[in-house]
Amino acid sequence: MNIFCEECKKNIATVFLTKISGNEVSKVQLCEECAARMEETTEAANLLAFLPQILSGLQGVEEHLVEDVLSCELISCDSCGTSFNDFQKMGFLGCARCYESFGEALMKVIIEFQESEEHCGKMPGKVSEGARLRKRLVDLERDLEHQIAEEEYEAAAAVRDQIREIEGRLNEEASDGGQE
Amino acid sequence: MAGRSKKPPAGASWLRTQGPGYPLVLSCRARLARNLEGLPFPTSAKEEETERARGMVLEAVSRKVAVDRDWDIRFAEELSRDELASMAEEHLTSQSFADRPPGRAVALSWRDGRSVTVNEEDHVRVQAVMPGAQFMKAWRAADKIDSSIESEVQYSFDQKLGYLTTSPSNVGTGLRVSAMLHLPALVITGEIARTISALGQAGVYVRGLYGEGSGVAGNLFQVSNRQTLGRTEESIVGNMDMIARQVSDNEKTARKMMLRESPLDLADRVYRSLGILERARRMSFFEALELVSMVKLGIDLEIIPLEDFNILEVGVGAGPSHLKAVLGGEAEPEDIDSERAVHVRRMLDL
Repeated sequence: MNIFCEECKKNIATVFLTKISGNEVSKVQLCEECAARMEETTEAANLLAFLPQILSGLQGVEEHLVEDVLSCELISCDSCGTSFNDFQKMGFLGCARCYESFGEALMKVIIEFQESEEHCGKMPGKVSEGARLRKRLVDLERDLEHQIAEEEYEAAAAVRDQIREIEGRLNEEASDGGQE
Repeated sequence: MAGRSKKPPAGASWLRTQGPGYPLVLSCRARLARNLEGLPFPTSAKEEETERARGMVLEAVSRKVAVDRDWDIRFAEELSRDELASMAEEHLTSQSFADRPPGRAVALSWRDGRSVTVNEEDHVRVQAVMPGAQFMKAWRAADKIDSSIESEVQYSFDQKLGYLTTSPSNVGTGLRVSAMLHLPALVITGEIARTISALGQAGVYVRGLYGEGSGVAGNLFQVSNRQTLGRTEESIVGNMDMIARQVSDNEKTARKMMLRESPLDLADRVYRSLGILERARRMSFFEALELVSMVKLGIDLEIIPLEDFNILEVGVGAGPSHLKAVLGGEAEPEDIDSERAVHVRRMLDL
């Protein structure tokens, strides 16, 4: 009459969980021990679960990328020594420099996972005014493109004025030899 | 106050208070991930490097953040395993804290759910938890702490990629916004599968009460944003607010449907759960959560004339570490299971 744990198939199942994997929902019956272990997976697991899919997806598309990815496994970060292979296994980078060291292969992962490659949120207070303006310019140009596509010409004109103003300020700063 | 900081009480105020969206949206959380410029990420740092990072962050925190008496700064190695496990049960720190790896610390404002953890996956993780759906408020609280720390330290930041994090899944804003939802009717009617699949397509993660694993107990779901890059903080926060509303609406619809189409089945489930809670003399954590969830549904739908309670407060209090703290000493698992039955009866006034 006892139901056995679906995970270890040894202990008696006392925990009935709704399990989510990807978009699938299922009911599982586990022993306390296996249920507790399920809770230990870290947040990185989310990305880890995606990684093979992302990387194999790349291989299917472009052949030269297969080589890139394979050769990347051998690349190590010159600053902390973490290899791309370590990253694939753990889902963690070793230091900020890894973002540069792993170059295009990591960028592909980021673009796939984040569906974006450009930060457009908060910037540290210490970032220079020039950098801040340039960032704003990129955001506004994106808005402009969107508005033109949506035929919102009035809004687009206002955005264009803002772009001109920022370009003016950037030119001023450049000719002042302002620090950037 | 001093005694209190030694033994943090079960249930910070966000566990007890009803916020907007109650009883479906129980709590919300905003978390920012940051790292210090020039030091390796904690996951691959040497001990002296984690120590250095901890010193830098805590100095900034004690100068700019923890300036009033609400704050309490603790090194992980000073806390007992049980205390750390209790903190994880209250979602103040992650489960990984309980293993006490060296160089970790946490600054907490117990009362209002604000915290800064040091050397978890990232050097700095700022978090604000609030009752109900107050996403914008939670994010503003976390953002304010973040800016204060930032005025004292140099964060790793890249013009293109934004804040650089240990996992690229946090890069950019480093912002993860989440909501805790109680969705029993969606689970019973099976509609939850469709909701989860729709959320997945909208870039929303769905997880169980204890966030990082994938098991769901007590019909408690945690939803959070997947993308942290390429959108502003306001848009991430606004989106989560909308998602929480939509999912709540789905749950309301499912509840109405059950009341209309299978009232007897619903009442039977609710009363059976109540019966077990009243009579059982020992209970696993998961069983307790499932039963309490059904009784709570019965109260929400006015099927049982019991006084309302917050399921998160009962659930967290029924966690193994909290019960162990109540029992003290070397409590055996069996004692904990029996204490849990008592705890739940007391909380529900049965």
